[in-house]
Amino acid sequence: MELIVDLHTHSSYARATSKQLTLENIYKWAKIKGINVISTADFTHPKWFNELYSKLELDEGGLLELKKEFTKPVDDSLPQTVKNNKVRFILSTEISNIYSKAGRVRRLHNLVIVPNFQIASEIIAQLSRIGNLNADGRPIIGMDSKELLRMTIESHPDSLFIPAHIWTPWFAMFGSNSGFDSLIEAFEELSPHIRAVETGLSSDPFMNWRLRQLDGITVVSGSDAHSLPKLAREANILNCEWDYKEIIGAIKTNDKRFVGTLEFFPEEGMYHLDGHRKCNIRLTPDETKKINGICPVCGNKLVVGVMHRVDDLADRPEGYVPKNHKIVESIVPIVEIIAETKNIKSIHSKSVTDEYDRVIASLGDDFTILRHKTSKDIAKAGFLELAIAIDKIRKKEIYIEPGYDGVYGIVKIFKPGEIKQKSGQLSFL
Amino acid sequence: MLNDFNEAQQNAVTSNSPSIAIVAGPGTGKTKTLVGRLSYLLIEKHIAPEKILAITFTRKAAAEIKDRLTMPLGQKTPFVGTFHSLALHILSDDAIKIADQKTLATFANKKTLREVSMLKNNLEESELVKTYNQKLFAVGMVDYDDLLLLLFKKLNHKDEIPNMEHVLVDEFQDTNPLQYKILKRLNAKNYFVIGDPKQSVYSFRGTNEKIFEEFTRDHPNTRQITLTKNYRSAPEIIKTYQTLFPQTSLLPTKTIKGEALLLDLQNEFSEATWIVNYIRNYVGGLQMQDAQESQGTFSDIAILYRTHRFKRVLEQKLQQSGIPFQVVGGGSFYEDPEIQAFISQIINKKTKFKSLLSAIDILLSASLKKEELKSNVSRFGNGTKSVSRFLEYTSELQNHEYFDPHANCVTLSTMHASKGLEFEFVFVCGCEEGIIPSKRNDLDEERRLFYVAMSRAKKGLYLTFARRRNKRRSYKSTFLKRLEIKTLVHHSARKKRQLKLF
Repeated sequence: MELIVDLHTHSSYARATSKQLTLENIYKWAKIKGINVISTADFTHPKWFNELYSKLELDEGGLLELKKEFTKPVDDSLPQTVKNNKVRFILSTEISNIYSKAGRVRRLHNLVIVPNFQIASEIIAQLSRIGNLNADGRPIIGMDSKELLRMTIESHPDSLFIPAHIWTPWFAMFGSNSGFDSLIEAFEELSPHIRAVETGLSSDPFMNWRLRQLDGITVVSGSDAHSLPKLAREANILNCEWDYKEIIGAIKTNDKRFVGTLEFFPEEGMYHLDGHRKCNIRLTPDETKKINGICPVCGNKLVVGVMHRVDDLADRPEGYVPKNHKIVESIVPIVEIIAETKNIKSIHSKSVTDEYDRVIASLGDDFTILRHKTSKDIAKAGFLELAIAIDKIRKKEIYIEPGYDGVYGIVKIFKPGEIKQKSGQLSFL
Repeated sequence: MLNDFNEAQQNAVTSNSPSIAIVAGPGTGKTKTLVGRLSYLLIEKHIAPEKILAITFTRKAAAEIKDRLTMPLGQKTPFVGTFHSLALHILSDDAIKIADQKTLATFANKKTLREVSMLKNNLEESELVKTYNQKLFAVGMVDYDDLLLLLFKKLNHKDEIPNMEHVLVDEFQDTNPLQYKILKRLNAKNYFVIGDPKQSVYSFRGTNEKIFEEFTRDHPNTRQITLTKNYRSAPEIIKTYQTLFPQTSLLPTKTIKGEALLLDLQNEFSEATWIVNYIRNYVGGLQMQDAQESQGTFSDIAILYRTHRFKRVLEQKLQQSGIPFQVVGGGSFYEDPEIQAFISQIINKKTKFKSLLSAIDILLSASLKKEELKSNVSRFGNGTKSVSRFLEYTSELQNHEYFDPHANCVTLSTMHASKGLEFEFVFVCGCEEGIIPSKRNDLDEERRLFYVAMSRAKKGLYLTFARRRNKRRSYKSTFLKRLEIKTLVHHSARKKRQLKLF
């Protein structure tokens, strides 16, 4: 059984997230996107926890299921093509650990995944002593990440701790501005308990494979979505049963059950290259090194991006691919493709969402279309431009303006005038 | 061994006078000097450890001194502890049962209990104390103050007086009349007292800054030494708090860089917002969106106020911001009456528990707090030692009014409870007439309290003055009038715009 699993999302109770991120809406969008197992997110938030506790129940596989009374109205509103998709939840939360270690301030985001509400409440009880859980679904805790790891592994054998988006400059394990240079530095004698790390949007598995210290550790992906359309913009592909233990076991062991990841183009991530947003300066790692990391406009230190940081810590050359490596599939969410073909900036504009609804209603969920439909099928259903775009994405014939210092990269699938030209070429099909 | 000490500290450590009084201003190395004196007596003077008593104000201070004291091989540590632990130490053979807070709460309310304690510590008899004592006697128990009274009575008999060569007293300004009488009855050959009369802020517990004068009256040939070299605060900060007592002269360490500022703000909301923004900037942002280089972390910062009444808005704004913080003496889990009763039960039970978890299972079997406590104490392990580790931890918390020094949080504290602590950056909020100084207290004691609060700061001292508080106009504290400090006027943009419109 192939499962698409997104373990890093947020609810409306986290800072700077969409009000639309309710449990019912997440369920609905998981169906639209084709996500099978999705994080509840933010379980440390008292109000959200209560909502989860009252609306979800454990199924026979130890996964959480939204109760019938809440699923029915949602299912009734969905087109036939996606309404029968099965969706389950897993309790997970992201913690912002801010602390001093070895004379420097460290800021790491970490994911904590637990098997049931009992374990979740025990973790909440411990964190509430030292943290402020009410303000943010992703709470700031003044605690060493290592101690959070200890708390997680002691909570239950099937709990899982994953350092989140490990390359992000400001809030990550390998971040250039407040992280560490190695797993050992961060987690000391407990580092063998780190079984998985999350790539983040600005890096992909290829970049992570360049580090020997990550050998044998599962490279997972999560969307860190702050709004519904961004759910599963990155995710994991697993081949296992609908079972909590199986899913966690696959991630912990990195065995055959863990098939690979669905990836953002890393250049699209907002910390891929180096630079200064305010000074309008974007540089490649080589360019940054040439000017000693100092911004030519303001004279302050440049924000060192993910590509640069990977290069600094890597002990293998660029392009290295291990034997028996996992699958890496680059994707662009369909709603973003539609926005580009229509030449509209916002994915929330009505003409974009209307077209998206039509696509879903006639072809099925995002991942079915992106991963399994031939461009011929898509074109036949009346979405010629989408078919051409997906074909180009699969061939990686796209252009990306890389992101830097908090500015997202921009994906361009078509050159100016290309859509018309390609649409005219009937030979394409 | 004396290389690390400055001249005044050396004199204090090595003086041969039978009575020595050291006035040690904030940050002048008081604990270091006391530890130095103990080492000097033990190592250089070969005084037997059992001939030495070192008395501290808190158990935390005692622990710190023991920790810093390096004993010659094979020797046991001399007694280092509070007056209460000294009483328990000397009365150890007598069967004494101490009433816990829960039992005492059934006798009288908090206010009355405080009054009783005050009377007892001043050795004053009254009807109130009498009836209260009868209730205690009826259940066969004593309270904490009685421990000192029992000790005092015991020392009345000549053959019960321990034959002490050296008695050392830390935080001498906090010694109350009963404790001072006990010190006298100990009749030691040598006394060494150290403290700072300007940091005497516990008159409501019967202490008095004049105790140093009383000591020198009782010991006319006292060698008096003043420690003046400050190693804690930046020169600008020392200059600021020193103006409260112009006759003192602390010498700053020039290498410490820092600032002292008076913040002139609109009201208690802009006060809280300013502080929250400061903390956010200092730690380098709380979210991706405002991330920047960080200068330090939450535990570097303390926010002090006159009474807990003034923390409401601060607490609210911190809560909203997501900044982790802890309130000293502010409703810790371990202060819960049920947990307190549990703690005193394990102390009083003679039987040893297999482990902390089994103690919880047995003593809290029917309690709702059981699981919560269990989840909180996993860090103490699960052997026989877990019980003592837990007791050590809770007693440390208690000594610090439930402040956990290991938690990386911003500290919120009353000015009183900040004594003995130090932070890189300190906010003293509400420098307004009627608050600092409080209307209800002696002006001199309020000045000392303000001095204690400000002298906690190492690199940054920020005094706040809100022009309106509780919707009423407020006036600058009289203490600010003479203070040498730069002022930063910060009023919200909205207000400015309004003014322009009019």
